[in-house]
Amino acid sequence: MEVVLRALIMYSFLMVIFRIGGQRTLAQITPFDFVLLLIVGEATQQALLGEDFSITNSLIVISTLITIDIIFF
Amino acid sequence: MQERSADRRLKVGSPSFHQKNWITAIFGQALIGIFVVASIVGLFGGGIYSDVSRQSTDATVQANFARITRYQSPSEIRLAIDGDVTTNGTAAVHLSRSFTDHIEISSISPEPESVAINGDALTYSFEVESGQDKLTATFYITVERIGRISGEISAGDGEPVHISQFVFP
Repeated sequence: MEVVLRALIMYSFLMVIFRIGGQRTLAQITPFDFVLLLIVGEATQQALLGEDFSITNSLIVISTLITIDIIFF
Repeated sequence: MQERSADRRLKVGSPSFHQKNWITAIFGQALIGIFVVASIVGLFGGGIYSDVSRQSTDATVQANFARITRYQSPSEIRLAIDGDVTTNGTAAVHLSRSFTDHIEISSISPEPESVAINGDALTYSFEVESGQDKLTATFYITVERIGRISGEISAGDGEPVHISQFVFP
């Protein structure tokens, strides 16, 4: 259950934070935006997986993210 | 060759293809949803269904552990030990090697006084203050084997409690 909650919270937070951050088209992304995306990805990975790097845990995280995407978007 | 590609394109764009594609997508999405719900419940570890409590027949030791867990995922075994098994201010907890050989014990709370190999078991000795009815000890572990692992835990000369875990990859 914790895994599903982690994925739900992180996905929701990232959606909100990037909406607040403003919309830019892909062509307008600066190198700073690109670096920021890389760092956010690294920070998100740790929050999603925690200390559990098993295949099953990854499958649960991915399935939860896909399910949220299907339901809400 | 071009005619074969054209035929394939026609089939791909046909209503029957779209219908099959739609049915397959719905079926796949339902499977993913069931998988997520099963994860929430704990069928793959970390939920209500996966946590279990077992007690020895003479009630000297009670073990709370996860019967379903994941490979190298942090887990814990909480033991409640009857104070009557204490001998000379020390409580001995025996974990069978059939279980400990497949796990890595990260830490134990409280820290035992000593660890000894006792036949086919490891014996952890905890210092106990006199007059305590119930002792609690927690073993923080990670399982290093996929599949089913099992073993026994006992305290002092009491009866063992059987523990069994299924480990997903």
